[in-house]
Amino acid sequence: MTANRRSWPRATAYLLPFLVGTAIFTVYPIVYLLIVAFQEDYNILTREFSQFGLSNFEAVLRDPDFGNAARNTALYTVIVVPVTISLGLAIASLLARIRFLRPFYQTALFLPLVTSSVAIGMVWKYIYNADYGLLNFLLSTIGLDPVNWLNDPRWNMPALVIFGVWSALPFTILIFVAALQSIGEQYYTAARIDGATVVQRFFRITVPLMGSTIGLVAVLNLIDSSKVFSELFPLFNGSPGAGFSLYTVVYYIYEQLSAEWDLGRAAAASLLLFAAVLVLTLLQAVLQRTRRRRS
Amino acid sequence: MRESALNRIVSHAALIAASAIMLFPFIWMLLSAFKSPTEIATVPPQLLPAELRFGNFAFALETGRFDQYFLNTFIVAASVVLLSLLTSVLAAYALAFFDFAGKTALLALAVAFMMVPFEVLVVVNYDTVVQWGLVDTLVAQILPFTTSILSTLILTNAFRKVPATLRVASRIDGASSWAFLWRVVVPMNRPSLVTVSVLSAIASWNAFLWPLLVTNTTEKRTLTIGLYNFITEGGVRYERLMAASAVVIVPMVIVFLLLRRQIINGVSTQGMKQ
Amino acid sequence: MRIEIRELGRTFGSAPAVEGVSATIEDGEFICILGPSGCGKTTMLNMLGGIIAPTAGTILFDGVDVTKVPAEKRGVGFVFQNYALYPHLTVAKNIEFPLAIERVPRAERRRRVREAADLVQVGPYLDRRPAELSGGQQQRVAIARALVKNPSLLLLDEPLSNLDARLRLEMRVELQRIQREAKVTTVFVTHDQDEAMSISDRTMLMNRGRLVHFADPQELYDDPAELFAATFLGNPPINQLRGRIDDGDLTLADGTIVQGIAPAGLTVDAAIVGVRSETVTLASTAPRARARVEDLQYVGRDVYADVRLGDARLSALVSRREVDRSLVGTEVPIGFDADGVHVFDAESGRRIR
Ligand SMILES: Nc1ncnc2c1ncn2[C@@H]1O[C@H](COP(=O)(O)OP(=O)(O)OP(=O)(O)O)[C@@H](O)[C@H]1O
Ligand SMILES: [Mg+2]
Repeated sequence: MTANRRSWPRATAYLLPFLVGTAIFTVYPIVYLLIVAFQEDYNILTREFSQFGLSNFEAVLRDPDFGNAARNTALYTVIVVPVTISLGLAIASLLARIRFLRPFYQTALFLPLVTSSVAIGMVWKYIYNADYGLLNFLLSTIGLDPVNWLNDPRWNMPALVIFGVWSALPFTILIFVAALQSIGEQYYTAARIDGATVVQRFFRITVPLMGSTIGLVAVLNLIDSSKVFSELFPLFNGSPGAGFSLYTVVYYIYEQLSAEWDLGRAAAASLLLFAAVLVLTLLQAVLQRTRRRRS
Repeated sequence: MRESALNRIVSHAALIAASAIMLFPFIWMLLSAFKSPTEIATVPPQLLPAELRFGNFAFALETGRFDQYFLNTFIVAASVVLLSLLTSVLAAYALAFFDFAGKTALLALAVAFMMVPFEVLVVVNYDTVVQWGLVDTLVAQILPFTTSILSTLILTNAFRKVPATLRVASRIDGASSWAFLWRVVVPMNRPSLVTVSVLSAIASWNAFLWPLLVTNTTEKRTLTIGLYNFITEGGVRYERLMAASAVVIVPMVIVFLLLRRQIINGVSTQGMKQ
Repeated sequence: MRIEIRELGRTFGSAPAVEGVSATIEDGEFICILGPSGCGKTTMLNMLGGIIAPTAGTILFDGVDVTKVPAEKRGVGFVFQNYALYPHLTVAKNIEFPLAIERVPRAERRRRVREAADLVQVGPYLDRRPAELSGGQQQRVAIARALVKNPSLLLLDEPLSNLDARLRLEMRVELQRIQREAKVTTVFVTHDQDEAMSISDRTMLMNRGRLVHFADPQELYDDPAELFAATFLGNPPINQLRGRIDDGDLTLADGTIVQGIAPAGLTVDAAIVGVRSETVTLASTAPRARARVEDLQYVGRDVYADVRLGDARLSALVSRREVDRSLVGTEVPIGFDADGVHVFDAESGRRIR
């Protein structure tokens, strides 16, 4: 009634500010990168290039630094995502069925959602301190040797992973709680009548019914952890860990730009990262569909 | 039928443990901000400061110029919230209430573009800001965030729930489509507007990579950048660093305590959107 | 306000929803648009309100062509079937809304809101929100909002259909009172014939997008222009006898002859004779035919007799005193009052006599 095909002039007027902003700061960079990635010998100052081709991709894939970055990123992701999801699901399934003290738990568990990762990362840096940090003190109380979390290449990855899981947990728990609350209470009541224990209920009801949400959260966490980069600033002063042990893909991109001024390579690496994430996302969607079809 | 008492006790115990771990860095930060340099480095670590010293905060605010950073951050965040709210409300109104050729395509494109992480686009945007001569200005920190695909989509969804007959009724009452937007649609959707504002306020307050790139002087830095430079320029003095971190974090914690429900709703719709 | 509608039409895609409607509504009249579901009532009303643009014809308000004037400039009041109150505003603010849009000065606004609220008797609820009101109260608020800007035309789309039966009867009376007090030309859509009959000065009867008959309710009933009008109005529905008329005598398909049911001299090859049940008399002193009583139905004060006349079934409203159960299964002489009998052309449905 209010709407008709002829209303586009008015609609455009309302859309205009949004379209202009998005065009300049989202659409233009995407298109630009898509083009630059295929321009060989691109000069950022003159904007000249020799020809269209795949040399940027070739260079990136041949670059041992990129290989190292990809390995580190994959390792980080492969640990952080499953750990976060398991812990998140366990905590969420406790929280979802509890009313007493819920606001307190929500506050405690979700607070990191609103805090700057740089600022709270500083606190972690202090906790990780080799000489008087809290974590080493805790280790010593159970008789373990102190660890040089931030300066020993072997311990950099664990330090980053712990911080990464801690940072990713709130969002994960929150989504799981929202999904769990939409599962009918009657399933749990029925299972309890059938004598299922808490653990049995978790594996026989929660996990199967949460299948699609787990997939979704996995993808979201995957997207997030594959971009691991800004966490390096508070913990390692922006260096990629001791001995490049935390040299990640986004760090590689960042370096191509800020140190090498090689926009073509940076764009190619960005596209490769985006493609990898996209492939994994689609894979998850396909798995989901076949699973649903089978059940 | 109720959960057995034992089950409930075990659940609470586990939740309390989890809460303690999640909360601990915040508590540790606040406690350490009041400590003296010796208290900070004692082994075994000392939980409570012997007295409440505000010197670390004073140092951060005055010597560390966190008063300036705070003001800058506030100006940037407030501008981003207001401007992105305005552009998103207008766009969402068009998407929810007008029918025009290409609307579906536009929505699909918006969702696709939202998937590309900002980190990837940062370079080109930096170049744009350089071209416009805006490096080291607050404007440069505001401009890229004056529109938000996420906010626009959340509001579009909310506005779609406004019954079409209300638009017809408002026309009979003499309201133009502009008046209908501001007098009916916007007041009816106050909760969604709050959610969207809070999400963009949090994102702006905590932004790091972009302001790191586009600022070089103390005068234009925001809190997160100030904090980062505090450590690189001033060396590691944890008691001061913790006070400075608290200055960055506490305002958002207060926002969270006040608007917990909206934030939780906002984040979960954000999660479901993607 | 006097409204002239000329050859008004509206098509959606290729299907006409309203076609060639012409009518004139006099200032201060209370008009009902009546008709079955989907006949175009809402479309008509929306065209009067400027909510839908006609695809043909013109509308004149006091002689001024308003066909192209959009809803926001027409200055009409509209009450929607679901009321369409603004959920975030209080009753007072809802009523005030049109005045706020018009930028009426504050003091005057307050006075007029008060007046409108008093007229529809929602004074006690001014600070509530629509969700905190009953259906009837919401409806009154919707009327107040429509009246507050002193419209010269008030349009209502089935405003009573969401109310329970009792409240519906109450609101009918209320609405008539309000309309008289406000002296506003009113067009009211309904598919309930009793509502139309009891409330309106004149009724526009519509069918399949066409205006079938526009007259005062009694005339519509007594003097239907088409078979559709005769069948749509009245409960039980009008009896129909199909056959050939020869000089006033009707021959049904099975050969039964009903003598002199139509005026002498009338001859129609294919006719439908409509007979209101209250004009059928059993044990008539001037019988037209013989008919068999099949059943008697007692409905409160009234008795309806199911009668078989040849291959046709008739329903006759009879007085309690005239009949008793022993009549069932017997044949009786049946007669008709001449002014309750209408003859229609079976093809076109047009009234012949
Ligand atoms: N927006 C529209 N698009 C397409 N067809 C429509 C539209 N509005 C109405 N129609 C059609 O026009 C015809 C008349 O509709 P209208 O709503 O005027 O009927 P109505 O008499 O008000 O019916 P009801 O008593 O059920 O409300 C119907 O056949 C309907 O399907
Ligand atoms: Mg209708």
